[in-house]
Formats: sequence, structure tokens, C-alpha cells
Amino acid sequence: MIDPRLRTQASRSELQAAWRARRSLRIEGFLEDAVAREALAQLRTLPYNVAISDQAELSFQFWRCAWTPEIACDHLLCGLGRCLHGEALAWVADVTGLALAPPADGLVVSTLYEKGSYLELHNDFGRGRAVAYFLGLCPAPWPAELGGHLELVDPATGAVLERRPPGWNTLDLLDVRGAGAWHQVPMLREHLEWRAISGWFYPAAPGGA
Amino acid sequence: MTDLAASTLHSRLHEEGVLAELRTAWSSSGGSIRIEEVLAPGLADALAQVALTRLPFMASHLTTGSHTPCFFWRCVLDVGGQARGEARLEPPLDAAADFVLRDLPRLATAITGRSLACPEPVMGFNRFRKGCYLDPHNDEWDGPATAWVLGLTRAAWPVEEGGHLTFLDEDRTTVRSSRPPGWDTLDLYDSHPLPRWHAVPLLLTHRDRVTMGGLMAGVSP
Repeated sequence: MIDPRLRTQASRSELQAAWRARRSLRIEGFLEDAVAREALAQLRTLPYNVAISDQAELSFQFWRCAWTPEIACDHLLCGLGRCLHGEALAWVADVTGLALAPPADGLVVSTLYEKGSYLELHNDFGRGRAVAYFLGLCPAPWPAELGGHLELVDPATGAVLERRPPGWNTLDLLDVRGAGAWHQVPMLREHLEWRAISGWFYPAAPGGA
Repeated sequence: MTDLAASTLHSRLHEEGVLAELRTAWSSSGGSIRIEEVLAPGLADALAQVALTRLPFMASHLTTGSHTPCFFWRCVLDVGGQARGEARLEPPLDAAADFVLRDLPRLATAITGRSLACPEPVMGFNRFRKGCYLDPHNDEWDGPATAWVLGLTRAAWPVEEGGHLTFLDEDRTTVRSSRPPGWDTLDLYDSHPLPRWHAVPLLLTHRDRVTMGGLMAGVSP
């Protein structure tokens, strides 16, 4: 399912160097395009539930759909889930140099941002996570003024260090082992669709690599 | 009008002079007014308190089809039993039901000059919080209809933050007027057959707009 060009040594070396420098990556064209298109088509048929929190330490509102990939199921989303927790995880581990494991509950989660959805500033720290990932399945981008872009933020100043538009078949990775990976998704102000498969990889051994 | 002691309305809304002023305002505004100090003393506090602490709100979320796109929180309570003279709801919801079933229609009838009633024995509470919105629409209904919004929101905030009741031109974009969330206020406006486009723009900040609302339909005299 992973695009074959990402398996070359040259590609991996380049990404490894970028990761060492920034501890944050966006990989374009992660999956084979047909897989990405079929995944989006199937995700659009699934029911999403609202995920909401207005706690001071973390406030958000978006839509969430989760499933557990079944071992013997040939449904594409089960296959993609097995890939994410297997082949893709191993690929990410190779690029990041970290020993990684899938979530203990085995769940694969799709998040959907529609008009009104947002994710306030936070850093995913303190929950035993190693790498946050977002597999973007947004067919077309839109201007940042409309919201819905992933923003990496300097917590000391509030300055946006980097802004990533909704991506098609993109894999965003963030190192969340430390307290420095602050990020947010400003409220989406129009009827647009920011859909991704997102979650975390965890340290495979105590303390991580 | 209802016996003053049993009324859910502020006593001044039983005074003919006040009603006459409201009728004049209704006529001169083309059928859209806001009334301040609507409820009997203490009732707005009680209703806001129960809405914020006890009512089970469900997400009202529509994005496609013939429905108006929206996302907000709604609690709809069946008041049919009370309407039929059976068991009353727990206070203060029983008073809210009396307002919706009896006092509101009578007040609206006195102001508009049309016989009005709530078409269904239900009452709805609504909450708009950060990320909530109700896109432009015109309350299509089979026959004349008058919309109502009871404000149960103490806080006030600028219109730029969203969450205000906004009336629009035919282009559904140009703002004619906006009404901030009100406390103990009643917005009445003819919504059909006049194409009175209105919306609640996306609430951008951590606010909590609490209201009751619905439509009243014309009834045969």
C-alpha cells in the first residue's frame, strides 16, 4: 500500500536527515494513489461521532470514526489499518530511528474537520506517545484564512512556525516525546472537508529510542 | 390574558398600554421585534440554570440534503402530557411548558393580531458554543408562521465573535441587522410566507448562547 518510491534508500536517507534536523516531516504521496482514493471513498460512507472537549487544558471539536482492523478481513480499511500498524509503522520507525509500537487498543482512527471544527493549541506530551501522525485525505487545499490548516506553534510567543495545508495522500509526522511539539488546527469556517487517518505511535520499549 | 398570578410573563406584559406599544413596534418594523423583560421574576434564572446543568443536549448536525446546514446543541422535551392536563413536568420546566403552550401564543396573538399557537406539543432548548452555527434559512412552513427565540444568555459579546441572531438580505449574505444573545428577551419575527432570511453565524470563541425557540403557526379563529 505504501508508494514504492518511498522504499528506495535515497528516499529514506533524505527523510531520515530531515527528521534529525526538525523532528517533524510531511511526506507527499505516502500511499499508492488508488489506495488513498478508495480509502477516502470508504471513509465517506462511515458514521462519524462528534468528539468535543471544552476543558481549559485542551479544547476541540471535530468528528471521529474508529475501527479495529480484523486480521482476516479483506476490506480495504482493515487492510490499511493493518498496514498502518505494521508496514507503515516499520517504515516510520526506520525514518525516525525510533523503536515504535502501535496503540495498545489496536484502534485506527479517522478524524473529520467540518465547518466549526477546531483543535486548540496543545503538545500531546505526557501520555507515553512517541510520534503523532496524520494521513491526509483532502482532495483539494484551501486558503489558510478559512481555517483547518495544521499549525506548528512556538508556545513562548504564539508565533506560527509552520503551517501545513490540508494534504492529499500526505503523511505528517511530529515528534511528541518531549514538550515542544505544540500544534493546533484553527477553526474551519466554511463547508469544507478535512479528513485524515490520525493517531500516535508509541515507544516499543520503556523510554523509547 | 392569563390570570396574572399564574402567568409566566412579566406583569407589565399584561398592561394594555405596553401591549399597544408592542403592536405599534410590530407594525412599524414589518413584523420583527425584540421584547425585553419577558418572564416573571426569577423564571429566566431558573430556566437558564436547568438548561446549563440538567438538560440532556444532543448534537444537531446537518450538512447535506434539503436541510439547513447547522451544528448546535438541542434538547427537545415532550410537553404533550402537560398540554392534555396530565402530569406536569418538574419545576421549572412546567413553567416553561406553560410559557410555550399558553402564555407565549397569547402574547404573540395580542401583538400580531393573528391567532397563533405552537403546532406541536414540544419545547426546545438550544445551545450555541464555540464551533456552532446555523446557516441562512427562512423557516419554510406550510402557511403563515411566526418564529420566536427566548434569550437565556447573561453574557454579551461582540458580533464579530459570531453567535448573534442575524437577519439577511435576499442574497443570504448581506447583513440587515443583528441581535446579540439576550437575557430574558423574546425575539418575534414573521418567518413565513415572508422570506425572512436569518442565521446564527459561526461562534468563534468560548461562549455559551442559551435559548428556547420555535415556530408558531396561524390557527383558525
